[in-house]
Amino acid sequence: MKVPQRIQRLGARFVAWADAVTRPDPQVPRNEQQLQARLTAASLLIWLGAFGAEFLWWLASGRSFPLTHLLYVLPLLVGMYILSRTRYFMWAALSSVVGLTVLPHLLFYANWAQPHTAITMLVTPARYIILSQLIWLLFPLLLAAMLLSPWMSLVSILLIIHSVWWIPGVLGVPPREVALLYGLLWGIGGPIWIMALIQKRHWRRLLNLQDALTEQRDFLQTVIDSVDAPFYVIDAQTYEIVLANQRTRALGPESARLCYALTHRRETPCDGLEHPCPLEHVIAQREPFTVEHVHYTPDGEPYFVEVHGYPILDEKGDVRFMIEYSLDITERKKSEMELRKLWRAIEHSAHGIVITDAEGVIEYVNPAFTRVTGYTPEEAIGRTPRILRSGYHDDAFYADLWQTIKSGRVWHGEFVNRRKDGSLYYEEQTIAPVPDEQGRITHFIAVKQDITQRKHLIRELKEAKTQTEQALAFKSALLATISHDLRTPLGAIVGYADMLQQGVFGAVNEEQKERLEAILSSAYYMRELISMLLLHAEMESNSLQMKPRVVSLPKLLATVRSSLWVLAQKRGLGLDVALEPDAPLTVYLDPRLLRSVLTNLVSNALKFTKEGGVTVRVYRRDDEHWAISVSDTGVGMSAEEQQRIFDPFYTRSHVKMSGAPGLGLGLYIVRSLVERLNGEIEVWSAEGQGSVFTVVFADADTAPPPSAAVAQEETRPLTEEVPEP
Amino acid sequence: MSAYPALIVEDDAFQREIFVKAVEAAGFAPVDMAADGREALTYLQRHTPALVVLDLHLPVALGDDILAYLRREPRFAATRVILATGNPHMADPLQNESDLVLLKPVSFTQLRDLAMRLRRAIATERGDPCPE
Repeated sequence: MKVPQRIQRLGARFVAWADAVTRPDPQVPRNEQQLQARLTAASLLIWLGAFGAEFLWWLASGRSFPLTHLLYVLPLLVGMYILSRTRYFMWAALSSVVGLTVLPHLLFYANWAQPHTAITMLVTPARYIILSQLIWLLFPLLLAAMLLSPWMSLVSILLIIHSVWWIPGVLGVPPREVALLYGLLWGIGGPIWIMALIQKRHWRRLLNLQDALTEQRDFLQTVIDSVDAPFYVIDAQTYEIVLANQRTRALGPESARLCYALTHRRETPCDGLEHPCPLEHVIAQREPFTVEHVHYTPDGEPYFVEVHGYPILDEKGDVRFMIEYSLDITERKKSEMELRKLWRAIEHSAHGIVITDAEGVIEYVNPAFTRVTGYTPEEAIGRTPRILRSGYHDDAFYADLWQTIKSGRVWHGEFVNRRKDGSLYYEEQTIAPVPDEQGRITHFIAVKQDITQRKHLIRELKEAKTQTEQALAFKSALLATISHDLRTPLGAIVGYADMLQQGVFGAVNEEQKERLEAILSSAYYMRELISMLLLHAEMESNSLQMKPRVVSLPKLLATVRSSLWVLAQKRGLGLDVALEPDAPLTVYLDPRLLRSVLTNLVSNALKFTKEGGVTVRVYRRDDEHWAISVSDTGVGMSAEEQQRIFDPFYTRSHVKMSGAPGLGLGLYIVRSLVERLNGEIEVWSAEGQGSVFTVVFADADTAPPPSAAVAQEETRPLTEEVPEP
Repeated sequence: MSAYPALIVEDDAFQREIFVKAVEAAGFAPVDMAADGREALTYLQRHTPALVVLDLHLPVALGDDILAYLRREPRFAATRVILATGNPHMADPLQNESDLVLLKPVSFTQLRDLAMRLRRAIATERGDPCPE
């Protein structure tokens, strides 16, 4: 039978309306209770309608409606309806049952008691009352049945029976009629009660089924939630995710219901070769599909995934859903990348790399191996490294190698091997065993380096080193020779010339004395030259070694004075040394360098002084510095000369005048030495007024280390013991 | 007046003569000489000189050994030692081991004057009248 479309539309609208006006509170949890709430609401709406109809009928009949009736019935019904739409709907239901059972006449009695109703034509007024009462009593009974509670139906029946006990007494109706009422009640109420029982069982079964379904669904959800990777089902038509596990939900906001929005942060489905959509492929091919994608974490970080799609087909064989799960393969990708890098490193390594199995059969050789040995991979793979044997190593050598690597240790050593073309080469090799997870050796990796060239270089270097050592030894010997052997003959020259001049071998005349003086001064100059050349050579070759020790300044001054005093006397000049009371007595410096500085400065001063003398003074400069000054009463220097005085090979203009030859190295060396000693040299001079050279040292630089303190003790201080000549 | 025996240890004959003359001129007597380390040790085993002039570069036994011997034996506590060396590297370490270190070449006058100062000091120590 075809229902007219209009009726269909009306029906649908009514159903929608009925659904809207009876929809229970969302907090009402179970379906059974939701149904009960809907029934209660529907009943109350019906009664509201009935009440409204009665009200209208009343108005239509031209009578005044009792306001009090309207005032308490309407709020009561409306209030209960509102209550039925809340989670406390059960109170509304109970109140309705009880209210209608106990006080039906308050609601409807007056109206239905009117004599012109159909019923009054059939029965006496008294009977009518009972009948109308009965009719109204059936409402709560039906309501109770509708509420699907057999227990509530029974309570309603008992309440009604209870009410009819007193009605005959009040109304004066014969008990016979009451018995009729009983019969009627049981006749109608009993089947209703039984129907309620049956319905209850039927509904219980339905509800059990629903519970089972819910349980099943929860079970399924638990199962997919336990999958530690995004796992979800996508509607093939809409791309909507219809089922998702926890890991999937964690991927994005609740609102991201579409697969591409969730995992790709896209507005449209994936496309292109870079991001082929697995769903489209599965829809087209109707078979499982796997593809690598880039997905995004909730923070927007991209990561590599392997997406698996499985189709769920409908009865026609079309893809209705697709199960998809994605595996995080970032680590795998990384290790693949690492492997690729390592592989490239092996392929491009300058060292030959050979991989053999546990028996030593070659499985892989890299290009460098071919370069070094001449064997191509095709020629080498399947054979053993014995092809390289040169015969230079005995069996014990190889046995030791095998024992080492078979026991899981790394072998490192050098080989003499033979190339494919027969030539020999040196090879440095490291062989490492590769164990599997159980510790069994499955492979060996050998890294080989051709060290033939290095061997040659080492030999050359060794030779060069020997030569250098020989050269150094020769140089040291040469320096020693200069020091000793040049000075010894000089000793005879100086000694004898001096003795002759002193008249030890008989009287000499003035002319002879002058010549002897020339020999002496030349010899002293030679001595100075030797000292300076030695120092210069040492500084140039960086072999000047600092040997600081505790130096007694009084003793040093005495030594300098005694070595130059003769020269001063010869030139008729005074040579005074003075140690000021506030000057340090001992300092920690290289005495040889310090003495060279002083000797040079003093002999220089003597050289440029005609009359007067030279004074060496040690004194305290300030709180942190002490100084040695060498002052003379000589010719002095111009400002321009002072600027250049420390340059190497600079000779002063007065040299010729003073008759003393100069190499021009003296002050240059002095300044270098002072710098080595961490001191500073200053010069003050004025032409015709002499010069003052001052060497300044910081106390901190010349303080002895604690370990050197002991050496300060001096057994016999020379200056105190030996009186001035 | 007591004796001022001296020993000159020097391998170079010219130098030795100059040293002997200089020391004699300073008032030391008798002045003996040794051309190498062994001779020096032989002499030192029998005599206790007031002054030893020691060349550090000696054949047979090195100057160092003789210096060590002199410093070890209490007998030589009053013996003055003048070291002569051609090597400036050696001069300074020995500064504290001796009374004087002279860097060669050493002139006659220089050694004579220095030796004279030492002899006066010895005389003062012994309580001798001034030799001059």
